[in-house]
Amino acid sequence: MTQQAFTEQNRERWAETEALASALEKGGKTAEAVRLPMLYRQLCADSALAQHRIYGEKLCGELNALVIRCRNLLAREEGAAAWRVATLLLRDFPVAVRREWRLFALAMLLFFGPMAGMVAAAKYDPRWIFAVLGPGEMRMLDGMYGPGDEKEFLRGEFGSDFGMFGHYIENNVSIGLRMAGAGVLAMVGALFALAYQGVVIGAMQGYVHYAGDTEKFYRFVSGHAAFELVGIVICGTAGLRLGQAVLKPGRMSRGDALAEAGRQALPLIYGGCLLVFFAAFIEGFWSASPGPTSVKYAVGAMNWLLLAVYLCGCGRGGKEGSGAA
Amino acid sequence: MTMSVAQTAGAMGKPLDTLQRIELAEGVDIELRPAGVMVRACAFSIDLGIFIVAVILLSVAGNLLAAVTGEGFAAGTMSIVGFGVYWGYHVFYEAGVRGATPGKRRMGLRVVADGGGPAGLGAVMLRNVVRVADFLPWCYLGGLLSCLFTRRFQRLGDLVAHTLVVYETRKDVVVEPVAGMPPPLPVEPEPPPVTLSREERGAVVRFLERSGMWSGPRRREVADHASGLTGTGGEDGVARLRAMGRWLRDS
Repeated sequence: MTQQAFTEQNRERWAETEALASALEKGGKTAEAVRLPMLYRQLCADSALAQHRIYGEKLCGELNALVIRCRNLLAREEGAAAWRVATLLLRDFPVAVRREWRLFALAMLLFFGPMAGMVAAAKYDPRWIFAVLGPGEMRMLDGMYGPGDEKEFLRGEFGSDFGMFGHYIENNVSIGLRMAGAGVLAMVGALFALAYQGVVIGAMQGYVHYAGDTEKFYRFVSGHAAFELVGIVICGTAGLRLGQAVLKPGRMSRGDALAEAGRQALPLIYGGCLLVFFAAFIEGFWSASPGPTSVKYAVGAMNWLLLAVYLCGCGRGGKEGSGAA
Repeated sequence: MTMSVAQTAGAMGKPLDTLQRIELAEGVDIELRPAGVMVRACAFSIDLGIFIVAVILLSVAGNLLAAVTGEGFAAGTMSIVGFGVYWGYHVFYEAGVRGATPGKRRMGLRVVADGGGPAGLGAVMLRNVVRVADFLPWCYLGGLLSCLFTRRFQRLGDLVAHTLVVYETRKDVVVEPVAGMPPPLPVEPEPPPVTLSREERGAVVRFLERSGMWSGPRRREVADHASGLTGTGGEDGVARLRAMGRWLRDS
């Protein structure tokens, strides 16, 4: 059969398929949609035939494009968003953290090590702290946590809880996402960012120990510390996982290793960001609120405990899957 | 007989072009055409322009909002919206039905999973989180190098997420023959002197279709590879090869 005859014979059906695909791509819901699988199968047969007979490039190209479009329409994932979020939170995320426990431990060490060092520096050699913080930051910390007059932390600057909430989300979740992404450069980005954040946060904490009112400080940070710090560390872990594929691909090619690392890092990125997001809620609406210090500390301790139980225990016993991927 | 057309076009099954051939379960092959650095840079520039306009509009809206609701609420809202636009712009569009940001769409591109299907939210998320690394050290140099050194022009984010950026064949972005090339003379169909294999027939028909996009010397150069079949060279060879192409295609 010549190309021309073949085209003549099937042109109408292709046009119908094309029109249906266009309508569905625009998001319209037509009753005709049930015909798509059948039209798609016929189209596949036509395309295979055209390729086999080596009909011209134009015809083969058009059929090829149409096959791809119809396939995309048929393969589209829809709905079940709530199910996927639940699978992520109840299984995939904690399971992923436990699976990557070595990298997670490394990330914790990289982050909390320098932090503890800077706090210790407050007692033994505060010059370390001055080397990190500039005069402006020290003045700000004096204003927030200095002894004496009660200022409402950063509230004067932004004016409301909601303002701070937005600021924390933008700032902290962005830090987490950048850490995860930059890790792909042979881990260097994540290693650096984790240690850097540890040093800066530790220096601030250390400065408060050195010159400020620690009760004021811990009253504020205790509520959200667990979720925020561990969330950031988990984002860093995701970055380390990506970088690991470059450094140590094992028995896979680096390309395959990277793709595998992506799949495994994804729940860590989602979960880490959700933790930081959740921490921003607490930080915005609870941490600065008035209340007895003992309650604040108790809630803070509770949050650490909850998080530990969640990460250690959740999703055990089930089969590991990729429900959220 | 010695048949050099097929050898030139695809000896040893190693394609000369960048087409990615993928076999589907439906019993048909699809072809993906990965997009190169230049067209993707253009698409990104368009997106950047849209992004800048959005930021300007948002800051105006933020100031208006501040006048109505007070500084704090407006600042918080703007932070969240800004965060959403910054991280969500690419994810939202690439995970959508079209699989392309407005810039990519304008350039006729689309993000697909490397099997040719839609990329899915997870993959799109990954490729855009890793964008940070592609940007480093400056102005997407990392991504550029990654694209240049991978067979399917993947930046680091694409490698991690198993995605490709491909040309989407659509009516409004068809590649036309280069203007100014002298069209080859029309010829009468003529059967080839020997029986050709399937691939060889395909190569001859493709020569017929593509020769209009090439300059005269280029046409002659390619046709000379098939001098064993045409028995002649130069402009005569081009004409004879095109004649055989017409015979193979139309009868």
